[in-house]
Amino acid sequence: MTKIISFPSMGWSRIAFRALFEKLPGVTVFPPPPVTRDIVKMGAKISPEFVCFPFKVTLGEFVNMIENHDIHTFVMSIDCGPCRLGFYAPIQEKILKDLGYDVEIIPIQQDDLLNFKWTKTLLQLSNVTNPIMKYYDVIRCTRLALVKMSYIADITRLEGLIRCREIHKGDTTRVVKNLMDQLDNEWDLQVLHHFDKVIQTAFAKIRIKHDIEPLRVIVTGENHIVMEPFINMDIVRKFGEEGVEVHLANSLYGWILHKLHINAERKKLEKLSKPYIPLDIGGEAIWVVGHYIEGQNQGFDGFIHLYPFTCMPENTARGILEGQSPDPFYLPIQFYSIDEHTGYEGMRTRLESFIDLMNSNRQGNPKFQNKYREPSEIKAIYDKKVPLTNHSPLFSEVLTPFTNNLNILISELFNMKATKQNTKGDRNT
Amino acid sequence: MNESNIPPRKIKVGIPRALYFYRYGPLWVYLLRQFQCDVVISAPTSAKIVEDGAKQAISELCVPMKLYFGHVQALLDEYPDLDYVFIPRYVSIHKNQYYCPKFLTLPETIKYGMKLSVPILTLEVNAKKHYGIEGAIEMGKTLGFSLEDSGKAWMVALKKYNQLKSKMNSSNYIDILASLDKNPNHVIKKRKFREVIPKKIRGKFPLSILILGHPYNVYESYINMHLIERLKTLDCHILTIEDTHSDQFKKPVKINKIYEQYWQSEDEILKTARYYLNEGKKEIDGVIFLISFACGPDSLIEELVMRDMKTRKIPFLTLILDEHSGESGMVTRIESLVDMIRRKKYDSISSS
Ligand code: SF4
Ligand code: SF4
Repeated sequence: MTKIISFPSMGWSRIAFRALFEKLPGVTVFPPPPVTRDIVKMGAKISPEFVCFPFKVTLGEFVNMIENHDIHTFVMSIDCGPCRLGFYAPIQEKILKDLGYDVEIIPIQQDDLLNFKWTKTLLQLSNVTNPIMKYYDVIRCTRLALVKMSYIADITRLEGLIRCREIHKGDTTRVVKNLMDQLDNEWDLQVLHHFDKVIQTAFAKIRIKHDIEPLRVIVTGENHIVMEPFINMDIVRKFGEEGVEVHLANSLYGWILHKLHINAERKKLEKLSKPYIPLDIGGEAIWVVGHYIEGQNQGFDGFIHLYPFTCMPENTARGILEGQSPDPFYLPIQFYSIDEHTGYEGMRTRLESFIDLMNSNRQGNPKFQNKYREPSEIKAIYDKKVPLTNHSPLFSEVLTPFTNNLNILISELFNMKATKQNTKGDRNT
Repeated sequence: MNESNIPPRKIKVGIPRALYFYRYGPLWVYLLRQFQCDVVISAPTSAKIVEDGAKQAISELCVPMKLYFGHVQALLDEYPDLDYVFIPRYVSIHKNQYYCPKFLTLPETIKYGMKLSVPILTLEVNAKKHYGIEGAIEMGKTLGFSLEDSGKAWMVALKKYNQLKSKMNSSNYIDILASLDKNPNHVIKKRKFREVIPKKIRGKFPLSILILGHPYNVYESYINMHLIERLKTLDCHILTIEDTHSDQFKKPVKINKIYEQYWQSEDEILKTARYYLNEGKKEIDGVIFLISFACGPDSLIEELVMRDMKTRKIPFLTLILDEHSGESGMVTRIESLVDMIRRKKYDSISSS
């Protein structure tokens, strides 16, 4: 018997979540429908009033899937750091059960991915009995998810950089949608290993304005809000259409790498923000401050901080950023505190006045003049003299998959031993 | 304290009377006195402090945090010659637990949020990193004390604090905390409340009410509008976390089969709730949960406790505290709660 499962979508991340479970024997994935106003309303109605917004949105998604699609099993990540996320799943489950729904929320641990607790969830879902095959499946699923995750990050990054340059409005949006669909339906790892070329070719077809110096903003904040375009009013697209180059700082891939302790970028940012936020306090707070300092150093024109209303870590970051402005923090910043009452119109007006501010800085404030650096991706894609990719085929086709496999296998083997010991320990206690 | 003309002036350290002052205040005072400091405490919360806090802090913060800003400001205003503001960093006192994220960066939040010019003296309590004593040694270093002296100071302060703590309960808590402050201008005037229950029947139909919530909500009479005293005028016996036997705090709380709870700041609330939901059910007639507006942890824990209380049919009221809440609204709500409980309890007895 296969189990039908689903999960909250969090924008394009749903592709990666689907990849993680799709090929697991015993599991059928129901891809979550995109978030809508009704879903948000539904969630807000049954949530505690003061809980942070992602809780309400994900709860709404669950209710929607139970009521309209007859799905009763969900996977939800939990993180017992200092913040609320660790309490999401149990309380959501309780609320749903109290309402009479038959539902199961399976937690997946993301505290520290190197302790491999998360594989437990996968192993538990799989219906294969042979342990070696079981592990083989888990490795395969993990690889699929990681590979797709990295491409989602690539596509969204390019989206932010290129939309402001497109000549025909809407080209970028179309290309992104097509690429994401293609990625979602591609299951051959060999093909996926070359997907970067597919991405580059697709973007190269967009006709762009060359040699322009658009305004540059960093968009960051709490992961869920930043990655779910319905909730953040599609701010990346809005900015792009207004001709602003957007550097989206959050990606699921970056987050996962961080949880695997191999995200050097985040380590660097932590160092930058250390005097202001000396330890991880949940959310993105520590990296938000890091991105801000880095953005200011690199001569960006603006900074957007998105977060759920009453979010604890992000408000801490906000307090510090605001308190230190304008000296030493002079990079213009706008905060969007978002919940179910946030209105689209008000947001747009604020956004437009922010663009005006940045424009006038470009004209009259030496701190923001002659600072523009074109992202290297633009040359790589559109400058025909540079070859599209500089990987040698030997490297990308043979070596990388091989070493990837090896690495994952080795860590899995260790892990198998560890889990065995762990389960023994569990029984003893 | 004020021995005159000792030439080397004592280091003057100010403690904001907010947040965990209401839990660990005595410990800090003892420790700082061990370090030969002249300890001053900000004045009891007043309208001005609330207003200053709301002005300094960003509007979305929880009320206790805003009050903290206000109290730091009050310290600076009242004692211009302050050498340090004492702002602790509570990260965890148990390896698998955390305090509310706002405690984790309290020193930075104040330092950078207010552009504080007075240096901060901090005590880091972080079981994930080191023992409590090491935090005290760090602090002693700042004040120029040797490792041994700091260690000793910590032990003495801790012992005194634990002795005091075992004596503290809901009826003397506020007074004991107030007695730490020697400033005569800071004496909290007792407000007299009209006895609501007519003399004839006073004491005949008593109730016991459990008040749940963070100590800085339960014992901060300004912000909770003297909840404890008001309930007493309604002939209610008060129980709080501080009245609960320490044995109840030993076993960890599980939310359900899989989830352990990991919030230090909510731990005692959940454990107290657990006791009164089970063994202690007979000892209470109703529960009031004080939560702060925009409090992250409370928003979820209140939901859990409320649902459990509902299934056990224990009357339950949530009072949300913010800087604007009016007194009359709250009074009506607690009066009608008490009324409802009383009617239910004694009607059923008299009719059976
Ligand atoms: S980081 Fe913010 S949104 Fe996320 S759980 Fe914490 S308070 Fe909620
Ligand atoms: S526990 Fe709640 S009231 Fe206390 S500081 Fe944290 S958010 Fe504020």
